[in-house]
Amino acid sequence: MLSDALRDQLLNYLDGNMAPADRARLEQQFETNSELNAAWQALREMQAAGRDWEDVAVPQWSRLAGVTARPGNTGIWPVSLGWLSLATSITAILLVLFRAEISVTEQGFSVAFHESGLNPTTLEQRLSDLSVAHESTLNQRMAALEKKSLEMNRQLLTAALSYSRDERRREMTALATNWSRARSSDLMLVDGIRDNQLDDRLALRQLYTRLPPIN
Amino acid sequence: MIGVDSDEKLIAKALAGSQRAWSKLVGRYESRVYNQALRMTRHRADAMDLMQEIFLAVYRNLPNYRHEGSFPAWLSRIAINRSIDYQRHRGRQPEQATIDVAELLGEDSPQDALGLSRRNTEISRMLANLNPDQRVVVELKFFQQFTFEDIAQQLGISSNTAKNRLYSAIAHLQKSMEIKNAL
Repeated sequence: MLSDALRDQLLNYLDGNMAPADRARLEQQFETNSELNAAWQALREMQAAGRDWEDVAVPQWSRLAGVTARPGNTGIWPVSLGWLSLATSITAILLVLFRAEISVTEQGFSVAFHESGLNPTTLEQRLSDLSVAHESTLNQRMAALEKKSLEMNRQLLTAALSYSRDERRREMTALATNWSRARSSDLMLVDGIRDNQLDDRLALRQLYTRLPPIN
Repeated sequence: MIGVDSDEKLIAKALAGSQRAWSKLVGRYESRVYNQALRMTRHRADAMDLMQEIFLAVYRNLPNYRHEGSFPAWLSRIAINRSIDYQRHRGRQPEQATIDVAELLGEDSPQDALGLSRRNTEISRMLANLNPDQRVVVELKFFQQFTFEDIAQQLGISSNTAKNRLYSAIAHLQKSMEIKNAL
C-alpha cells in the first residue's frame, strides 16, 4: 500500500504542483515501483475521463417549471397547484369563517358578513357550490397535466423508436458492406484457383508431349 | 462582453420577479448541470428529474445568495448536495424503481440507447463501479476541476477525507483495470 506522503506527491504531480527536481525523482520511481505506477495509470485514466466526456444535449424541458412569481416564495402550498387554487381555497375558508352572505338583487351584487339570519341550508348550498367550483378548477388542471405528461411520454417513445430504427439501419448497412467485401475477396480467390488450374493443365499437356510414345 | 448580462444582473432581475432573466440564467448552466446529473445517476429520466430539482432548489435559495463566491461555485454546491440526497434516496429504493425506456425496449445497456458516445459509455461504466461518496469526489476533482480544499469545503469534510475517498476510487479503478487486462 502506498504511503500517505507518496499519495500526496502523486496528486501534486497530477495537478502540476511540483518542483522539477521532485518531479524527476517521482518519475524515476514510476519505473521501479509497480504499485505507484499502477496508481498513476488509474489517476491518468480518471483525468482522461474528465477531459474526454462529451457533453450530452439537454432534452427539451420547461425552465420555468415550478417557478413562482418571486424566488424563495415557497410556503407550504404546493407550487404546482398555482395561485388560482390557493386564492379559491382561502376565499372559501374566509367566507365560511366570517359567515358571508352573497346576494344578488336588482340593484346589484352585495356581500354581507355575520348575517344572523343565515340559514344552514343556504350555507351548505354555498359551500357545496364553492366546492364544486374548486373541484372543477382542480380537475381542469389535472387534465392539463395528464395531457402534458402523455405528450411527453409519446415524444420520448418516438425518440427511442427512431433511435432504434436508425441503429438497425446502421447495422444493415454494415452487414451489406461486409458481405460485399467478402464477395469480392471470394471472387479474387476463385480467379486465383482458376488461374492455377489452367497453369496445371498447361504443365500436364507439356509433360504428355515430352513423353515417348507407348508401343 | 457587450450585450451579455452578467450572472449577477440576471440574478437581480430574477429576484425582482423576471422569469425571462431566470430562464436565461438556467439556459446558461443547464448543460453543465444536466451532464453532471447524468454522470451521477446514469439514467436520462433520473438526470432530468435531478436537474429540475437542482434548479428549483437554486431558485428557492436565490434570495440567500450573497455574492461572496462565484455563482457557478454556489450552484455547484447546491447541485452536489442535491445529487448526494438523490443518491441516498435512490439507495433506499429497490432497483426496479428506475425503469428506462431503453430497458423497456430491451437494449443491452441504458447508456447505449441514450445516444451516448462510446467514450461516454465507458466513462459512465467506470463511474458505476464507484460508491456515491467516491463518485462525488471524482466528479468534483476531474469533471469540475476543483481543488481538494474546494471539494472539502463543498462537502463539509476535511481535505484528507476528500483525498482518501479519491484514493479508494483509484483502488476500485485499478481493480477493474486489472480484470480488464486479464481478460
